[in-house]
Amino acid sequence: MTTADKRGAITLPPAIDQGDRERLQKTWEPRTGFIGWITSVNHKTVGKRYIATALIFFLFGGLEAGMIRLQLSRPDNGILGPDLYNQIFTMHGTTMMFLFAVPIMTAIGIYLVPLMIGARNIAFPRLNALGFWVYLIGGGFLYVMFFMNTGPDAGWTAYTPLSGPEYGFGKRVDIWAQMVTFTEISALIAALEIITTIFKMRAPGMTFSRLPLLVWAQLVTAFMVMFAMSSVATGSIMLAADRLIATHFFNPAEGGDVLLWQHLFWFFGHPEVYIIFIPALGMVSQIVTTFTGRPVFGYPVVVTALIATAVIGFALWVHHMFATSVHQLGESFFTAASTMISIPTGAQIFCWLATIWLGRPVWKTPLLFVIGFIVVFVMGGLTGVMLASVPFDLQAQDTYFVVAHLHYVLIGGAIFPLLGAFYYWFPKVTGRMMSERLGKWNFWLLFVGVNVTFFPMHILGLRGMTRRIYTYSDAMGWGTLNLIASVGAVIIVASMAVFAFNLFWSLRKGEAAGANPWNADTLEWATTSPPPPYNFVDTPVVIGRDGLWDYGDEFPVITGLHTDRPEVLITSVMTAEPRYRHEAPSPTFAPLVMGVLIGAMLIAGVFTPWGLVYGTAFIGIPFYMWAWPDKREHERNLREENEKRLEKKEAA
Amino acid sequence: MNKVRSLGSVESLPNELYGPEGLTWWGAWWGEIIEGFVLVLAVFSYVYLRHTSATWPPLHTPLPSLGIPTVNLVLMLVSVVPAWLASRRAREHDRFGTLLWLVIHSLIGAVIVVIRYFECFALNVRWDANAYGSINWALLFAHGYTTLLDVFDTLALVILFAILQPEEKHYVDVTENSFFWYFVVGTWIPLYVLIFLSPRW
Repeated sequence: MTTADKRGAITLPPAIDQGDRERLQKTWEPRTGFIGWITSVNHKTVGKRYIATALIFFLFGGLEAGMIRLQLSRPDNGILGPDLYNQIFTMHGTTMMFLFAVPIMTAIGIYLVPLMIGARNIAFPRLNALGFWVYLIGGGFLYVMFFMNTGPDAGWTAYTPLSGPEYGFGKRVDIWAQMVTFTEISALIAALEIITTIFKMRAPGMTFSRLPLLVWAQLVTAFMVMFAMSSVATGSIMLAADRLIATHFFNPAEGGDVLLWQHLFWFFGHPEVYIIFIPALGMVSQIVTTFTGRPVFGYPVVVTALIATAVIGFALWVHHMFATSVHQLGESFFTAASTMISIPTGAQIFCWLATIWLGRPVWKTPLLFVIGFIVVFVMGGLTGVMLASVPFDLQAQDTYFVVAHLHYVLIGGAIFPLLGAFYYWFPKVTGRMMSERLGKWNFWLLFVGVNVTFFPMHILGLRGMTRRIYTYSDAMGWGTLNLIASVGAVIIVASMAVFAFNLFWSLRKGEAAGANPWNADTLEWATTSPPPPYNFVDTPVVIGRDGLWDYGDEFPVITGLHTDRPEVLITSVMTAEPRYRHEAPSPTFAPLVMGVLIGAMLIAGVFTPWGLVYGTAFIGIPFYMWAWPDKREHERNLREENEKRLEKKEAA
Repeated sequence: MNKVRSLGSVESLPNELYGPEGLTWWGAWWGEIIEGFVLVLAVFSYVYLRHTSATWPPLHTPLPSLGIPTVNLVLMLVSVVPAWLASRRAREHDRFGTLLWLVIHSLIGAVIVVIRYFECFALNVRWDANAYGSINWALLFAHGYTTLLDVFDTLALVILFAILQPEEKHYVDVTENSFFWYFVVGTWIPLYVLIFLSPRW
C-alpha cells in the first residue's frame, strides 16, 4: 500500500484475475499517440477534451467580461466604441451560456456518469465523439468570424426584429444562429447518450433509488436539454431562414410575429439556467456527502426537488416577457410558477444544511465552494423572487438589477459548485491533488470579487442604469458604483489566475492522490486515479445507496465480460439486472470526418441555402464508413454466432 | 476492501436483444422524442401564427391542393407494411427475406421523398410569400428531412445485407430502422391534417 493509498480507509479493490488489467488495456486502447487520441471514442478522453475546450471558451468569455468592465469603469469612456461593445457583450453572453456553461456541465457528465454507475464506457461512444467535434467547430467558427469583425451584435438573446433582416445587417446574426445550431446538435447528442447510459448501463444492483445524486442531476438535466434545446434550435433555424431565404416567421408585415421568437427562445432560455444549475446541484450533493462523512439528509426530497425544478422550470419562461403584451391571467400564472420554483431549491438547501449539521464537516476547498454557492445563490434567488412580481419586473426590466440577479444566480449556482467539483474530482481525473492553500485563496478571492462586482449593480439598476449601454454620462451619478464593480472584476481575475496556476502546477507537482483520497462513497473512487481506459476490471455490484460505504471488507463483482474486445454490460432499466453483453464500437476517424462535413455544411449554410443540400449528400460518406463493420470483427462474430446456434440446436 | 468476491458471471448472456431491452432501441426512441418535439414546436408556431392572423390562409392565397399530398399519405401508410415485414424477417434471421422487404421499403421511401418535393408546390404558396407559406414549407421540410435520413439508413442496410452476411446486431438495426419509420409515418398523419385539411375549416 502506497502513502497515497493510506489517505483513505477505502482502498482500491483487487481484480479477480490480475492478468485482465493488461488484456483490457490493450483492448480498450488499441492505438496510442496522436492517431489514438484523435480517433478515441472513450468517454474519458472525449470528456476531457470537452472540459479543456470549454475552459478555453471560459477564458475568452472572461476576457470579454473584463473589457466590458474596463469600458464601464468610468463615465464617457472611449476605449470601446458602440459597435465593438455590442459585439463584445453579445460574445460574452453567447460564449458563457452556449460554449462554456452547458458544454462543461455536459462534459462532466460524459466523464463521470459511466464511472459513477460502474460502466466501462458511455452508450453510443462514436456519437459522443461526433458531438465534441461539432461543438468545437461551431465555437471555433464563431470566434474566427468575431476576429474578422463579424461577431454577432444583437445580444445573446438575439431578439427580433433587431436580429432580423430588417435591422441586423451583414452576416453577424447568421453566424450566431448557426453557432446555436452547432451547439444544439452537440448538446442533444450528449443528452441522448447520457439518458441511455443511465437507463441501460448501470451496474447490477444500482436501482434508481440507489443512484448517486450527481447521476440523478445529469439524468434530469439531459431530459431538460432534449426539450429546451429543440426549442432554440427550431427558433434559430427560423431566424436563419428569415435572413437567408426571406421567410417571414418573425416579420409582422407579412403575417409573422416578433414575439414568436421570444416564446421559442425563452422556452429554451429559462430552462437553460436550470440545465446549467441542476448538474451543479448534483455536484454539491456529492461534495457535501463526502466532506461530512454521511449520506445526504433527505435523499428522496433532494431527488424530488431536482425533478420538480425541471418540471416547473418549463412553466415560467413568460416571466422574461412581462414587458410584452402578455395577458393578465398569464402574468399571474407565470408569477406564481416563478415564485414556486424557489420551493424545491430551498428544500435542497435545507437538506444540505441538515447534512452538514448532522455530519462531521471537513472544511476542505470543495466544501468551502459549497458554502460560497449557498450564500451567493440564495442572494440571487431572492432577487429572482422579486423579479417574478410583475410590477417590480416592469421597473427593473432591462436594468443592471437584472444583470446583478443573473450573475448572482449563474456564478453562485454554477461557477462555485463547478470550481468545488474541480478540486473534488481533479485527483480522480489526473491522479494528483490540487493545492489546498491555493484553493482557499481561489475561493476567498472569488467570494469577495463576485460580491464587490455584482452587488453594486443592484443599486445601479435601481438608479436607472440600463443594460447593454456602452457608456454613460458623468451626470447620471453611476461612476463610483461602476468603478467599484470594475475593481471587483479585477479581484475575480486574480481568483481565476490562482485557479489556473493551481490547475497547471498541481498537474505536474501535485501530491499523488491514490484511488480514493477523500474516502468518498461513489463508484468512480473504486478504480485507479486516473481511471484506466476500461474503467473497472470487474463490474462492481451495488448493494446499497451509499456505494462503497456499504461494502465491508469485500468488493462484490460480476465477471464474464470478454477481455479481448471492448464489451460493456447492458442491464434492465428499472432493476439494473444484467441482460446482455454488448460490444462497444472501436476507435475510428468516422466521427471526425462526419463532424468536419457537418461543420462545412452548416458554415456553407450561412451563405447559401444549397449548403444544406450538398452537405446532406456528402454526409452519406462517413455515415456508411461509420456503419460498415470491421472485417476481422465481423468474421469473428459470425463464427461465434454460428457456434452458439449449433450449441443451441444440439442442446435442443 | 481487501478482497474481491465474484457473485456470478455474465458469460452466458446473449450479445444482442431486440426492442426496449436493447441499447439501439433507446437511441432510436430518444431520437424520435427529440425530432417529435421539434415538430411539436413547429406545430405550435403554426398555431401561434394562425392565431395572430386575421385570415388563414391570408387574403389572395389559394388553399393547398389535395391530390399529390393524399397520394403521398396513402403511400406512407402502405410503406409501413414492408417496414414491418422487414422487421419480422430480421427477427427470424432470414437474410434474403429481410433484404427483399428492405429493398421494397427503400424504394417506396425514395418515391415518397420525390413526391414530397412536388408536395411543396401543392401548397400553392411560396415560402417567401407570407408567414403562412413560411410555416407550411417549414413543416414539410422538417418532416421531409427526417424522412430522407431514414431512407438513407434503409439504403445503408440494403447495401450491407446485399454484400455481407449480417450479424445479429445488423438484424437488430433493421428492427430499429422500421421502428423509426413508424414514427416518420405516424407523425405525418396529424401534419397532413394540419397543413392540407385544417385551412379549409
